Amino acid sequence: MWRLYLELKNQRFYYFIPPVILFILVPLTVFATIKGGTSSHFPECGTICQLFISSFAAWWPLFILKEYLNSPGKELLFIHKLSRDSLFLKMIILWAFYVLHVVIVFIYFTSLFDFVWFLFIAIITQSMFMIALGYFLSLLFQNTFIPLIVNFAYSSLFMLVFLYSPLSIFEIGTFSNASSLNKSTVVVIIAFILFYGGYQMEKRLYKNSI
Amino acid sequence: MRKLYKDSLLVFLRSKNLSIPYFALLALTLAYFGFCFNNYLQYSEIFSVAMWLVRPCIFLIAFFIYCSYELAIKMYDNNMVEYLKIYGQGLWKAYGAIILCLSTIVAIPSIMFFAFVVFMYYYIDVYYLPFLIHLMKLSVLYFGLSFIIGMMLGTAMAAKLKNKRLAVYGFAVIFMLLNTTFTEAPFRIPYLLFNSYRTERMLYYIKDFLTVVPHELGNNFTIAPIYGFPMEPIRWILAVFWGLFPLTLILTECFNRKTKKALIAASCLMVLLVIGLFSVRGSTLIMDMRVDSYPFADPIYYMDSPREAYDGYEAGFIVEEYEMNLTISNELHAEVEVTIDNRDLDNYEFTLYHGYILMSVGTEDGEIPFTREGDYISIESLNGADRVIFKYYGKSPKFYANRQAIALPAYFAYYPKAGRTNIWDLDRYGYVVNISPNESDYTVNIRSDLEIFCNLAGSNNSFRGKSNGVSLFAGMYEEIAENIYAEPMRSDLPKREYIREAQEILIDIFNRLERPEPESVILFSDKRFFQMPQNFSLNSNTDDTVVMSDHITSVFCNNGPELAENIMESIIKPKANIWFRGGYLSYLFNRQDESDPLVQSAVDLNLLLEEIDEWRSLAGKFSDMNGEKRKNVSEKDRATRIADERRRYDINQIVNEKAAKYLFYESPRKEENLRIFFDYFTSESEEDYLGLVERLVREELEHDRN
Amino acid sequence: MIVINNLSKRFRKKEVLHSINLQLENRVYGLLGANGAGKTTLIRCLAGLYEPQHGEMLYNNEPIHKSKSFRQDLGYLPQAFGMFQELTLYEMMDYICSLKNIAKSKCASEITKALTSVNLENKGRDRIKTLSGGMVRRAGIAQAILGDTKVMLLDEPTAGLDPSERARFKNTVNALKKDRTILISTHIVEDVDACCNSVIVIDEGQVLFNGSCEELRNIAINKVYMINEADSDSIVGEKFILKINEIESKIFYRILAKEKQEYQSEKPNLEDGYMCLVKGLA
Repeated sequence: MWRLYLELKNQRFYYFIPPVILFILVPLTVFATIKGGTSSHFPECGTICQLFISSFAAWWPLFILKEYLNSPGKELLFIHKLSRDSLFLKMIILWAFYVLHVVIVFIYFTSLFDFVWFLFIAIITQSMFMIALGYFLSLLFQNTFIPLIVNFAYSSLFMLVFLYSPLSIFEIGTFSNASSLNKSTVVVIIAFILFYGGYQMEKRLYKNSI
Repeated sequence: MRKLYKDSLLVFLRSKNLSIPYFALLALTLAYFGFCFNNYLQYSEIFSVAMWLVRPCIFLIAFFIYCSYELAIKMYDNNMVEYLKIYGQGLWKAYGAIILCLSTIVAIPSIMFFAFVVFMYYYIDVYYLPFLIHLMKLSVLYFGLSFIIGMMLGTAMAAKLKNKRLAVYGFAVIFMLLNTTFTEAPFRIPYLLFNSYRTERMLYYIKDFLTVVPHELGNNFTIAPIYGFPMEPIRWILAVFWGLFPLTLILTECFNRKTKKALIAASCLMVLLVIGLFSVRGSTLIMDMRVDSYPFADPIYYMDSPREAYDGYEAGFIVEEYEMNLTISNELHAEVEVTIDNRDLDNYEFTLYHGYILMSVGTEDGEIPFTREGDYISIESLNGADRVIFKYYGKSPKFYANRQAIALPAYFAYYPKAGRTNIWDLDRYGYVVNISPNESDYTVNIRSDLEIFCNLAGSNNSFRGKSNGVSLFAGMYEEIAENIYAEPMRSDLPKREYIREAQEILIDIFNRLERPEPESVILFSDKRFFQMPQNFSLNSNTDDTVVMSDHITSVFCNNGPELAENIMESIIKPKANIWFRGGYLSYLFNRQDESDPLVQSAVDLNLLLEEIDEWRSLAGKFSDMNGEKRKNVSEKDRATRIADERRRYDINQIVNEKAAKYLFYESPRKEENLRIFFDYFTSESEEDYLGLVERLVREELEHDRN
Repeated sequence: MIVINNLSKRFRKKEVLHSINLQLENRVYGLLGANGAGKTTLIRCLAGLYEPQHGEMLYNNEPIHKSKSFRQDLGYLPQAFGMFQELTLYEMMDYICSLKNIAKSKCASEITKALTSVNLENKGRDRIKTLSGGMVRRAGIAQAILGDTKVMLLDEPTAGLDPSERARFKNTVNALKKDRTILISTHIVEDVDACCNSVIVIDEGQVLFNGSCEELRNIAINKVYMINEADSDSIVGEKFILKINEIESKIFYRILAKEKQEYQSEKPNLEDGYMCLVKGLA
């Protein structure tokens, strides 16, 4: 955990981008949307939350992976590695850390909307997917720039253009009942598959590709 | 240099993290062309296909940022820079080779896009040269220069930021997001929360400065065929700037102190120049969610302005003659001389849209003082002069006039009109159709690169004639048939037979109504017909069709009956609810849907009267409800309120549709009712239409009882 | 002790290491070889980064990849070093301490000791990106020293160091060499001469020599000659020009000859012995 702390610290002010998005931009945007409309506009707020919160979930993981894949002397990071130090576990810890931030945001949302838990679950599963996708693509391409572009391209495409596409992990709707989580189950499964694929590549990464 | 270029190309091709994604991108591009082509086969809408084609632009640009950064950074990763610097201009040659190599890399997809758009042009078989030129410019600007911008930005970031990958990633992400509608929701915060238009404007100013795509990803507004994709001069200037500015940054890395200082100075000057030009970019067509955009600028402006009604305003004078000298470059610059009939008034009022900044007002004797309040100009005594010269410049968000297109209909106050007339109708949410009751003599000379079409006679952008208004159109706009002007790329083009058919239908209607045809409608099929741009009804539903003394403007002309009905709608005043008026027109034109259960079943008049009362009582309940009060309502009351609002909405439609159906279809006095309401709609009577409905229904009930 | 038996490593079709057999005890070894000889590959195999196709590597009779103590005892300096540019030097060292599982209570003292040994004790609060190339290299050496390392693998440790820093590095190695196995991969022969007890010469993936510096020098006994340029053609048999010197406007060649010549031979140095081996003149 100390190493993870130092790795996050290494990002300097780029570390603060997700918290700024989560704690300032998203609440302000949601509040502005409510104020600007005649009703609570929960579906619209749900869209905003999915767009911003899920898109930035992979920010910390990708910037940490950058050190492992692009920095000079990166092999040193692999020398002393034990199984508990796997990048995969780091991704999970970062996801959990991100979820904690999301929890704080949603505590605020409970004061604005009646029932937010389905939306919360959807968002944390989408965040898991985005992190898994970033992890998988980083190890596949040995590069973190492409996964970063893909991350935001995916969010832009499926939240702004192909809103109802079956390939989209995002949900447009009221999140008023459990059926709005049908997609989330599939999303979690795909995230696990991506994590598994990424982990397989990670194991081989140490051996042959420095 | 050639050797360096070849070596750079080899490095690119041998780098798996560059070449494999690149070739994958080319394959995806080809597949995407297939998708776009299939889209055309399904919908036959070329502009829809073009919009699909430009949507992934920003991803390609981001990809080229990635490629160029990764290629250029290899020099720093392998410590080659110090080595190259010791040779005369070695580093510059290396960068030159990299830029050339990357130019080759981006040229391939650019050429692919270019070839595809040309192929599509010939496939759709339209043969309209301006459209082909437009597509070619689109390719050059957005599939050529934009890709080069991506390439130059990536290379410049490698030169200046070097191994600071976090910064590079951050910039690339911000750049990408600023070219999508990702920013739409957060950019509304200043206006929605703090009522700050200025902050929103500033944010969008920055965003526009960094916009390198023609149509943002996520933007659902359609492209107007008359205008096409935005290719104003400022876009080209920005494209060149974003190509050259990174180049100067790269050059500062390659040269010694003296040259470096000169380059820094040059790049600062370049920035200042472009910011200056950008600030005076003039009229551009903005189709997004901002406050200043085409769909929202005027509704928001007039919602916030003091509400004043100028119906029936008497100016006290008539404009006998207009002499208009217009220059349409980045926006409208005008010198308009008006000759008035009454020189003895103490005060003269004119209406000129607030977007036009009045520089001076004068007579033959010199400038005279004036007061400008929003859309209105007040001038005191003219001291016996009968000619007033107005000099102004400016723009309108909807009625654009620039180097790309012009859409200035006669009913819009883009030139001073006598008296005070409203420009926007808040109740009806649309532009007021300001047609002068009198005709004036017009002499119009326009300096513009575009071929302009006008209702007056003339050519080479000089026109003369007598009319009650001057309409000007230009862009991808043509005379498609004699006296019919439209956007040739539209699928629903007007035809002379539709107009003639509409004429005949209207003659029959007025015969049925036993009323004389209004003068403007007599022989309208001989008038010039201007089809308005397709998206003109986006923010206004009041000016779909306007009939003037010598020409007609209409957004739609799909068939004769539709045009006739639109013309009739422009004649009758909007004094009733939209459903009632719609019902009136559909029964007047025998356009009712016979299979509609409402049409098939009889109307219970007593129930109708009860529903009218119910609607009145619900309307009264919410007459003072505003957003603030709505939020303060308790949870329990909120449910009741929502139910009441829903009921009010439903009953509003029910009442009006039933009333129209009974009075104009079912009633034995339907013909008389049609006449009564025609007189009502065309009169100045201020009686509530529902009151009239109730009166007529009670009369019939009374008659039935008797 | 590290024992390498019959180690072979291939990347795709290219065999980079052929049947390497070595025994590394507690001394300082210089791994000498040309670019592409296989030095870095050998070091990475030892560090556990690469899996060899054949052979085994044992640390205290236990295979390296299974040995927990090897991980604890290992200090490694890669050829390129410079991650975590935004962290301070102290934080980066702290990170490595954590990687090496050094007890928290000992971290501070270990870091201070390591930084002092490379003369960077005053730079602990500076960010890595603000340090000069030489300082970064020294920082790399410092992190390799962290903990009670028994095995140090240093890949091109003096690359980018100026002469005074290289001299300091040699002093550091000399101070550390007791009870440690230190393997220094380099192609700077003077560094090997100054601080290594033994030399391993590797060429095209094979070990050509494994012995003491003296033994390597002796390979070139009676093979090194300093002759006038004009006499260069009179050398019999295979020869190799080591150096061209200009002395009082006259050109002299220092050459390596396979056969004994009529001229007076020179006392060979380590480089001469190395060149003798790689040029096949031994």
